[in-house]
Amino acid sequence: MPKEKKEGKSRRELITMGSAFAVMGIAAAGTGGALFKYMFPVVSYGTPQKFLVPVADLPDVGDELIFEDMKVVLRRQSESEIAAISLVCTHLGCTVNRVETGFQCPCHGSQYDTDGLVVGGPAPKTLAWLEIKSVPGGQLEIDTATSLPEGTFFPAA
Amino acid sequence: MIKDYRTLLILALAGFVFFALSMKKATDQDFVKYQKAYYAELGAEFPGAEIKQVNVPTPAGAIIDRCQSCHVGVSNPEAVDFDLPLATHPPIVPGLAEDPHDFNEIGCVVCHDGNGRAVEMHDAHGEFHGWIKPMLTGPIAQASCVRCHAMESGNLAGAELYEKGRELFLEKACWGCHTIAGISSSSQAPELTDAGGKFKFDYLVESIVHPKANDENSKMPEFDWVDDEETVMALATFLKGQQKNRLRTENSAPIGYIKPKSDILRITEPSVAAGRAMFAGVPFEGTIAKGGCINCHAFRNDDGTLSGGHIGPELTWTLRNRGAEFVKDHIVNARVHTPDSIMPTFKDYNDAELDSLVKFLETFEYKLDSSADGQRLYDTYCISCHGPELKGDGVVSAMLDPLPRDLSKYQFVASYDERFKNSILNGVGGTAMPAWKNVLSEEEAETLVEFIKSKSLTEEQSFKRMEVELPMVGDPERLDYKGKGTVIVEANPAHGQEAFQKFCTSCHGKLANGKGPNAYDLVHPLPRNLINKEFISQAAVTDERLYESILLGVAGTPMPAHDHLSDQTILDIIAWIRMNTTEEAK
Amino acid sequence: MNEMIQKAKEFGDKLYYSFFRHGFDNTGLTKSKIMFSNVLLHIQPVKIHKRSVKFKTTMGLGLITFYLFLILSVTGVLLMFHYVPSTAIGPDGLPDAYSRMLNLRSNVFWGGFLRNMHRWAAHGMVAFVALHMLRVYLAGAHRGGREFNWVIGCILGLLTVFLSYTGYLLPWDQLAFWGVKVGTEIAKIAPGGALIRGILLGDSDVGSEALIRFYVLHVAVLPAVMGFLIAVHFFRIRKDGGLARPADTSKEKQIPDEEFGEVKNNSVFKSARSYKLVEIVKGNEPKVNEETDQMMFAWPKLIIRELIVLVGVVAFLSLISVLFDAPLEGPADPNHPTNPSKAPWYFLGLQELVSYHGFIGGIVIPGIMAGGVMFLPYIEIFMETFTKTYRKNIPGVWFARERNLENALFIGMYLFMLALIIIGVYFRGENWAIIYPWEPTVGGGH
Repeated sequence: MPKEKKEGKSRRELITMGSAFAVMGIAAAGTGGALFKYMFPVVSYGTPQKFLVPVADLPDVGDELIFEDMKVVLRRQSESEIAAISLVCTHLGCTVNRVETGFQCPCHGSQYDTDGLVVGGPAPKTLAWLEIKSVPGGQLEIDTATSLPEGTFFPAA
Repeated sequence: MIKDYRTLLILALAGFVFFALSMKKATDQDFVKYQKAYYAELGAEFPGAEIKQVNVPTPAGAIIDRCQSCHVGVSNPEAVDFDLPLATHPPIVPGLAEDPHDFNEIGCVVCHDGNGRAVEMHDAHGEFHGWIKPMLTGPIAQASCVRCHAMESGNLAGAELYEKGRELFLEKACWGCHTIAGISSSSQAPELTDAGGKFKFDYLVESIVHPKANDENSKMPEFDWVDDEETVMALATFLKGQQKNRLRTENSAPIGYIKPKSDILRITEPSVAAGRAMFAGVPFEGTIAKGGCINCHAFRNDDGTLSGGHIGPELTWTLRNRGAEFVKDHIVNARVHTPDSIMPTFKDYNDAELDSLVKFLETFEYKLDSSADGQRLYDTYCISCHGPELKGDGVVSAMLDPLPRDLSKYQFVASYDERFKNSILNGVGGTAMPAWKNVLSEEEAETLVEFIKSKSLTEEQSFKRMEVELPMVGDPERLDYKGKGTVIVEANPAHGQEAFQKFCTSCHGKLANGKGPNAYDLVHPLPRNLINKEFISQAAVTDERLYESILLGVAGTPMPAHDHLSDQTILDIIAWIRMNTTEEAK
Repeated sequence: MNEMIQKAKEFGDKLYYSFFRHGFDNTGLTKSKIMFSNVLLHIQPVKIHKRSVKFKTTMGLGLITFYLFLILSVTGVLLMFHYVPSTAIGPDGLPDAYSRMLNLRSNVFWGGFLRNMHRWAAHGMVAFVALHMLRVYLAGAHRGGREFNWVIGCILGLLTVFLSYTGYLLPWDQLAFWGVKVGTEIAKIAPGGALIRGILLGDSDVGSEALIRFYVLHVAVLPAVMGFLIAVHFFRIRKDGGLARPADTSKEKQIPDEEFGEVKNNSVFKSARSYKLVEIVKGNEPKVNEETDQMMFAWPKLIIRELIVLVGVVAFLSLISVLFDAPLEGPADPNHPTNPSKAPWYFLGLQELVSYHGFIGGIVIPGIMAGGVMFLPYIEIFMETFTKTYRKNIPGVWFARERNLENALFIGMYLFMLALIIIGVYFRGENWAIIYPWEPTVGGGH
């Protein structure tokens, strides 16, 4: 029965080889994932994506506070409700100005109402409403990278 | 083939494990652990770990600060009881309800140094070899206040240690030798304007406590007031704060702290009280402390006890010995009369301030009564320099140059005892030995000479020094035999210079300043500085004495006999030495 | 339904044969096809001598060197994404290039590991180039028409050292700065060395210009030259008929079937050997029906063996990189030299020589060594031609008795350099004074 023996050997050979290549494949896939993480930014060196606002600094009810560096307006709707609206135009990323009627973009004339809904100009969609998180120590963290539907309010504490 | 596949499988598995380990190492960072612990302790939900980075804006760009990835609770007052690294930062400005320092704005490295980019502890705290700015922990972080605040007004709350250091720097007359731009100007010692930028904190501490630790040739004395930790920390903190690279300019410094623009108040009317204040280095009627003689010089109280430091000579008799003019000159620039003095220059004193100091020195009246014997006279007037055993090693001798004479050497005393009385009464020019004739009577001087002889001439041996006579120019009776019987001619300084460079420089140095390469190996006394004008030109140093010292050497010192030199050469050398010290050569 | 399966199979086959033009059966034709229809595998011959896969023939040294080069290329490109060759001082008082190192170390995921890998692979490559050269010489594989390839190999060796040296500066820490500084000071001693130094540094001293130049050399110029020369090096090995070996003798055992690889005859010819490709290679005629045939198919034996070496190298390197971090000292400070200032280890032998005598130690001895080694085969030929001492060269035989003298001299030279390097690395402390390795020192020598 030399022939059978040979086949048995070749099957074992195949399994060993297969598992070796499988391990190498998994390692290669892991390496790919690691390299993806290697390339992905961990922190920003420019303007940070998130910023903190002490609860004590919140505007009065009905008032707004504009953070020019961060291009964000913080609005206090009621005693307990606040919202942050991005001032980045949804058309091509200019910074919109706060005007009486709402927001107006100086670059291509997009117009938004006070809630950031488009009322004129080339802008394709509403200004982004941002996520506000409460962090320990009496501070609020505003994340400029988020984009929530208009009218999303957060508790003011 | 199966063997090959098996090897491949084993290696692939090993590689897989090592890769996995590397990724685990990259993921498993301390800050994740700390953030988890922080939220657990707060009782809040863990929102996921992230690197918390503050980009501190400065005119030169942003400082990257990731410290709060681990020190996650610094601005949360609820975390006050947490363990490090999660705890709240203690208040920086005491007594304020709300601290003006916002760590989300200024981060941590601005004050504490270290490596703000790192999120691994040893890295972040700068505990790796070669890191330039190891962390400043605790109160010594006050050194960094000046990076933003202008603190010269000296009223910054919370920076007490730094302030204490600044006061010490002024009070203890550090400023007399060290320059810090805006505070002092002196070329005696290394400039410290950028001391904090150049040196690590530990280096500064070491240099204050033990000046020779980092520089063997340092002339800085070991001060005896540097004895407790707080003093050292305060001084080092002050020095660490001296950095050229500031984050804010004077104009953009945080409000509330005014850099004084007005000149420092000066003393305008000479008075004993002003002199005493300056001597002690304490403020006088609104002037800031600008003195501190007492840190180096002692004086004798009326009961005979000493107060003050032991770095410079005792000043009890100085005014009586030296006179007011000499004292004032010496304060303004000590090197005018004593070329090798290490005393700092105090050139920005005005006349009123100098007169105040003189007036204060005039108040010292201590004197022994006439019944004192040799021992008592010596113990009062001589011992601080010449030492209890007459070896020239008194408490203040270390910083004197030339060193006080070693009077315990039998051969020296036996050879030169007839000069002693003159040296005592008229002093030795260009050295720390003053003229005592206004303090001591001739009898007292003689008593002292007898005392020295009784102490040192104890050996039962006869020592007779050869007598030589200065050869005269053109004397047919006194030929220069080593010059093959030639007649002595007028000495030529140029030949003298040549001979000096050939025979004398190994000890006396190329400049004849007594600092030749071998001088550092000699113990006591050191080679004579031969361009010390006041020494060479004093009446006691005659040509004959120089001739004898060169030809026969100086007894009891390392100066050897030079009887291989011809008389003509010796005279040439003397002429050159004289030339150097009479006119403004070069 | 069957039709659908049939079509799907057909589609799958078409897809497969658009990528691979061969199956995986055991016929000789397939084994040949695998080798010459794959762009990566066709660099190697279809059939190789059985000696080639034996460990003792090459010990895999050249291959390891090549793999290290590949690893260095990959990790190097990855590191470039996070690196800036700038000495501009940032607000935290650190030069840009250096703060990028800190970023890699503590912020970028896997950055420290990749940097470690790059660093250790670079050191490994210098070492393995030296070992490879030693193997080639001791096995006499530098003769027999391969003299010029030896010269190319020597140039590759010098390029490796130079690549490693240019990379040494890039972290811009004290170690890098003073290592390179010392290295370029050695260059000054050579006649014309000041000129080369000026061109390299772009300034009178190591500074921002030097960093840019070293960077460009390190990431573009030298790797390109190196890649080209590696191609030439490999090409010539194949054109010279594979690895150097002594002639086959009929006494040698025919390779057993399983080593040879099981081959089914699917040819129209009945002869078992007729599928052998007619290779147009000088000196090697097709050997049809030869009695002894020591040639075997490269697939799969050789390829698997090569893969084993690759996986082994990667595994070992990653272990080293997990265990040991690449050194990084404080940022470069031109005003405060490290004491001692040591060049990279492969230059420490040179630095040791220079410390005895600048010109002789820095130029004459290394010049004679480098030049002599590079033209060694020609020197041997010259001696043999003009001194009429005929000596039979047996390429591919370890420690051939006829070459005892040469081998001894060559090993002696290696030991001499090794001793100098060991002295330089372990026995030199502050102010280049002799110390024992267990005495504490600071800085230098990595």
